[in-house]
Amino acid sequence: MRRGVLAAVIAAVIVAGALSTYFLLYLPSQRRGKVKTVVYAYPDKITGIDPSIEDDTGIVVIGSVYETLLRYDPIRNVTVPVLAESWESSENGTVWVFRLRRGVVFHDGTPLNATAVKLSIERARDVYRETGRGCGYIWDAVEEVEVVDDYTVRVKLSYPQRLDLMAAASYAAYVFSPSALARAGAKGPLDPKLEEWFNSGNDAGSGPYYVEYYSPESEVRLRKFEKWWGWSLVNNPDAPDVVVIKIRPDPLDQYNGLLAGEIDIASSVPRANVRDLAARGFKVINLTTFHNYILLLNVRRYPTSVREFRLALLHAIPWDEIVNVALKGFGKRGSGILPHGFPGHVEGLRYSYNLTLAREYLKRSGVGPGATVEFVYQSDYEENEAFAQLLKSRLAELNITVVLKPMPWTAVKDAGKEVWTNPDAAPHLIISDWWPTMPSPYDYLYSLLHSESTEWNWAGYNNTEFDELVDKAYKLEGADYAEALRLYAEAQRIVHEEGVAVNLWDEVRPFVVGGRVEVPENALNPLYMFVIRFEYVRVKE
Amino acid sequence: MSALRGRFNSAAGFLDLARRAWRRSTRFRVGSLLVAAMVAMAVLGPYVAPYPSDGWGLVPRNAAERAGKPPCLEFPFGTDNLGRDVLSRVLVGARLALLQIALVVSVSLALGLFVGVCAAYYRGPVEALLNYAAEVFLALPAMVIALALRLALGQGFHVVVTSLILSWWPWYARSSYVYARAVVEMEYVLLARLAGVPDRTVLLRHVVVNVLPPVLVQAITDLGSVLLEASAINFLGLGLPPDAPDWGIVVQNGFKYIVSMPWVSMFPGAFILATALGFSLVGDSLREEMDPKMRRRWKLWF
Amino acid sequence: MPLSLNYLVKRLLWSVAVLVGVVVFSYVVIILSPGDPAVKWAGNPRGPGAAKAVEEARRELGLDLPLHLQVLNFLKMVLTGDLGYSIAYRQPVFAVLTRNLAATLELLFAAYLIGVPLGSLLGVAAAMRRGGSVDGLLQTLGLALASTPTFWLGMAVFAVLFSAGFPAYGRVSTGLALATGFQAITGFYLLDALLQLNAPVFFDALARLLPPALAVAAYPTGLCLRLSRALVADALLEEYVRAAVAWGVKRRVVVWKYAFRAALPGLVQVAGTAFAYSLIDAMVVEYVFGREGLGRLLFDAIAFSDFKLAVGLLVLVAAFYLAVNTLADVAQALIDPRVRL
Repeated sequence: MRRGVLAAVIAAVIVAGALSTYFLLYLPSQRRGKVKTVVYAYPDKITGIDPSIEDDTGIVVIGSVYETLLRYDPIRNVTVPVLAESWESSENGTVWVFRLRRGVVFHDGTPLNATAVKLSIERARDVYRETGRGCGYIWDAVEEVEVVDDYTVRVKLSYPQRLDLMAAASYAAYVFSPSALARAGAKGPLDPKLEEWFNSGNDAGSGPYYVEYYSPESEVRLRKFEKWWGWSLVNNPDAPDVVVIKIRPDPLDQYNGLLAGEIDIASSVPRANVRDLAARGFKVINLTTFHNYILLLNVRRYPTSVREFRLALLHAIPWDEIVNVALKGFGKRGSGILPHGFPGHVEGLRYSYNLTLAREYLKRSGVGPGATVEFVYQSDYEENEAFAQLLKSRLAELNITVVLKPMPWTAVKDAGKEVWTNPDAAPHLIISDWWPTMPSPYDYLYSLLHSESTEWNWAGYNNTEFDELVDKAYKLEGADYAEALRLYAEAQRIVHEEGVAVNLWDEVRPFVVGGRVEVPENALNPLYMFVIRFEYVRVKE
Repeated sequence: MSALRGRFNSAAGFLDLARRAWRRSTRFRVGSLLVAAMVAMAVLGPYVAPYPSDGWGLVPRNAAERAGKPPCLEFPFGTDNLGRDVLSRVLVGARLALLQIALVVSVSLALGLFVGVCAAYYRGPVEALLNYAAEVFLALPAMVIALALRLALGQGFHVVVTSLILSWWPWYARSSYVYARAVVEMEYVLLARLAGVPDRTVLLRHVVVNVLPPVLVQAITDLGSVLLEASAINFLGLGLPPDAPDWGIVVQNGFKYIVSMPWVSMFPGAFILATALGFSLVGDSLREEMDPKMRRRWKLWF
Repeated sequence: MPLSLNYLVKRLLWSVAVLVGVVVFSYVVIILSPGDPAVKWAGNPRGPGAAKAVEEARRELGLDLPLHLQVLNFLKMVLTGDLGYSIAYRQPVFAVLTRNLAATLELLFAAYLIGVPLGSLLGVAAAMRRGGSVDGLLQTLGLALASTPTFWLGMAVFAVLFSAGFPAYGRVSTGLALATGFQAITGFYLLDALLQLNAPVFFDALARLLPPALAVAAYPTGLCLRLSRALVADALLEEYVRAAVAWGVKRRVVVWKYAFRAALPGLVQVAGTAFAYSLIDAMVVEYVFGREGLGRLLFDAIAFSDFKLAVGLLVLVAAFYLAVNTLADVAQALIDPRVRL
C-alpha cells in the first residue's frame, strides 16, 4: 500500500515536470512574433459598423476604418482635406464641387472614385429618408450628386448649406467602396443585406486600419492597412500593426487593466483614481470634449411647467461643487447649451448658486413647499450618479424632494421621449449627454430643443420664436456664417431666460496611456468622440 | 414521530427552548448577541449616528474636503467619494436591512405554510398543482427573478422583496408539506375529520400548530441567508436605488474605489457577514436543541 | 443497478414540465417591461419611415400576436433549443448564452474543486474531535464561510491581491493570447490552452482563475465542512464502526473507509444542489473580477432592455438547476446501494 502511493507520487512528479518543461521552454519561444499591438479600452458595446447608418458607439471603429471627404479642425474652426483634396461652393452655397485625392484605394484594392462618393452620400441620405435611421439627415439638403469625372463630384442642394461641415461630420459622412454591394450579395444600396454584411464584421473603407476580427460585445481587432495613402505623410514607422479595441464598461476594470499591463490606452477610469495613475507613471491626456451633459426641464408637467419654479431649481444647483465633488475636476462648467470651443458657444449664460434668489423664485412660483421632482439620468456614468446625489442633497435644503431614477441609456431615451405623448409620466428633470454629429450649433439646438425633434427634445419645449431663429440660422450658415452664429446665440439666450435647459458641464475625459505607447495630441479630436487616430500613435517595444 | 419531542407549541415553549440553548451553547450566546446588536442598531441607528444626514445618503456641505478620508477619529469607518461618513451609513442602513429580511421571511413563511399544509391536507390535484408551482420557483434563484422584475418594474424596494419572496416561499411550502403529511396521517387528525370537525379547525388546531415550530426555527436561520441574497441583489443594482441607506448599496458605492478607498465597501460588508452569521448561529443551535437528530435542510447559504 | 430507466424518463419529463412553467413565468413578467423592444430591434428609427420600420420589427419579433400565442410560440421555440435573437448582441440568444456559459462553468468547477475536498477534510477533522473546542471552532468557521457575502469576499480578495501587486483581472492576457496565437475552442480557457499546448496562456489563465475561484469556494467549503462533520459524526456512532474499532482496525482506516464512505452519498447529493445555486455566486464574482461570462449578460440584459436575453438567462439558470439536481440524485444512487431510484 505505502509503496504504491510512493510510486504514484513519483510518477506524477515526473509527468508534471516533463510537461512543464515542455510548456515553458519549447513552445513560447516559437510563437512570439514581433507585432506592435495597442490595446484600447472602450466603455461601451459597439452598436454597429455600417458606415452610412451607424449613429452611436460604432464611431470608435468606423473612425479608423473609414474616411470622410473632409475633417473638422476644432481649434481653427475650419475643415481640412482628407479624401477630397479641394472643394468650392457656388456664391449662394447651393452647389458644391469636391475634387478627390488620387491614388486612394479601399481595403479590397478597388480605387476611390466619384461613384463611391455618390453612392455613400446617397445611401446615408436615403436610409434616413426611408426608415429614419442613422444620421443621414446631414445630407437632407442634397438634391443631386453628380459624377463629373472619376475624381470630381458636384453636389446640388435644395437650400444653401455649409456642406463642407457636413462632409466632415462624425457620422453618416464616411465613404465606402461600391464593391461592398457585390460582396454582400446586395441588390441595391438599401438592401438590408448590405447592412447585415457590414455588421457581421466586414468593412469597405479606405482608412489606415481594417477590421480583422469583430465581436461587438467584447473585442474588435484592427490591422494596419499597408496601402493606405497617408502613411508617407504621417511618417510614423512605430504605428501599431494591430489595434485591439476592448469593450470594458466598468471604469474599475479599465484601471485594473492598465496596472496589469493589459490595456495601453484607457478611455474611462474612475475619476478619483486618475491622480494615482499619474503618480504611478502613466501619462494622462485630458481631452476637453464636445461631450456635454445637458439638463432638460420638463415644461409640460407640473411643477417644472412653472417658469419660476424652474429658475428656483436652477439657482439651487450647487454649480461650484459639480466640478470639484462630482467630477473630481474632470469637467468644465457649462454656459448656454453648446460646449466650449464649439462654434456658437456663448459665455455668460450661467445661473448662480444663490439660495436666497432660489427661495424668492420658489415663493413667486406659487408651488407649495414639499414639492417632489423626478430625475432620470444614465446609471452607468459615475459623474451622473455623483451629480444626482449632490443635487438631491442640495434641493433638500429648499424642501424639494428629488426622486432619483437612474436608468440604462435605452430606458433614459424611452422616458425622455414620453414628454410628447404622456408628459405626466415623463421625468421632471433629465440629463441628456450629447456629442455632435456635425460641427454646427444646429446639431445641439435643433435636436435638443426644437419642437419638431420629438425624439430628443425631452423638455417638451415648444417655442415658435426659438424654432424660427434656429431654422433661420441653419439656412444662413452657407451664406452668412457670422449672422447665423448671432441668431444661435439669441436662441440660447431665450432658453436661458426661460430656464428650460442648461449645459451642466463639458466633459474633460482623461485618456490614460501606459508606458509602452505614445499618443500625440493630434491623435484625438473632440468632434470624433473616442476615435483615436492610431496612425499617429507610437509603440515602443 | 419522535421528532415532535422537545418541540414548542407556544411562545412560552419557545422561550424555554431559547433558555436551554443559551445555557448549553456558546454559539447560541454569540449568535444572539450579534442579532441583538443588529436589532439595536436598526432601532437606534439614526439617533446614534454621528452624521445622521450622511447616513440617509445626503451629501454633506463640505463634501469637497471630506471626500475619501480613511478611517480616523472623526470618521471611524472613513468617508466615501462624496464625503459621507461610512459609519453613519452603516448605522442607518441596519433598519432597511432588518425590514427587508423580516418582510421577506414572514411573508414567504406564511405563504409557504399555507401552500404546504393545503397540499398535504387536500391531496389530489391540489397537491400536484401546488407542488408543481413550488418546483418551478425552486428552479429560479432570487437574483434572476430580480432581473426579470427589474426589467418589468424598474428599481425599488418592491423588486428586492418580491423577488426574494418568490424564491423563498417554496422552501417553506416544501418543508411544511413534509411535516404536514406526517401529521395528517396521524390517527387523531383522521378521527377529528371523521367526527365532522370543519377542515379549517382541523388545519389550524392540529396541523399548523404541529408544523409551525420546526419551520419557524428554520426561518430564523434563513433571515441570515435572505440578508445575503438581498445585499447581493442591491449590490448589483437590481433592487434599491443607488442612494438608499442599505448595506449592499454602500458596498456598491465603494466598488469603484475598492483599491483607493477600500473602507467604503469593507465595513458595511463586514456588518452583513456578522448579521448573517448571527442568525445562522442562533437558528442552528435552536435546531440542535430542538432535535439533535433532525436532518437540516441544506440550502443555499444554509 | 439501483437506477431504473423508468425513473430517468419520469424525471426528464418532470424537468421539462418545470421548465415550461419557468418559460411561461419569465416571458409573461418580462414582456410587461416598459420600453418597446420593437423600436430597439428596428434600431431606434426617426424621421418619416420610422413607424413602418417599427411595425415591421414588431412582426419580425412576433410581438403583434396576442400574449397567449406569443407565449405558445416562444415555448415551441425553446423546446427546440431556439431562444430567439438577442437585441443587444444581434445574435441568437442561444449562441450568446453557450459562449458565456463555458466561462462561468470554468470558474464554478474550479471553485468546487477547491471547496468540496477542503470542506470535507475539515469536516472529518471536526467529526474526529467532536465535542471539543476545535470542533466548535471549525463548525463556526463553516457557518461563517457560508454566511459571507460572496461579492464582498471577492472584492476583499481582489483588493488584497491588488496591493500585493497582482491584479487578477479578466480571463487571460490579451497581448499574450495574441502573441501566442491562442484560440478559444471550447471556451474553457485552461482546457483550450492544454489542447494547444500553450503553456504561457495556461498559467496566465490559471493565475487569473484562482482568486475569483477562492471567493466562490467559500460557500461550498462551509457547506461541506458542516455537512461532512454531521454525517461522519453520525456514522462514527454506528454499530459497525464501533465493531471495527473493537476489532482493532486502525483509526484512520475506520474514519475514511467506513465513516466517510457512508457520508459520501449525502455529500454528493448536497454538493450537487449547492453547485446549481452557486452559478449565481459565480456570476456575481465574475462581475467583481471583470471576467467575461454569464454575469456580464445580466447587465447587458438590463442596459439594452434585451428581453429575449433576459428570458434566455432565466431559462438557462433554471435548466442548469434541474439538470444538476438530476445528475446529483443519479450520482447519489450510483454510489449508495441503499438508494433506489
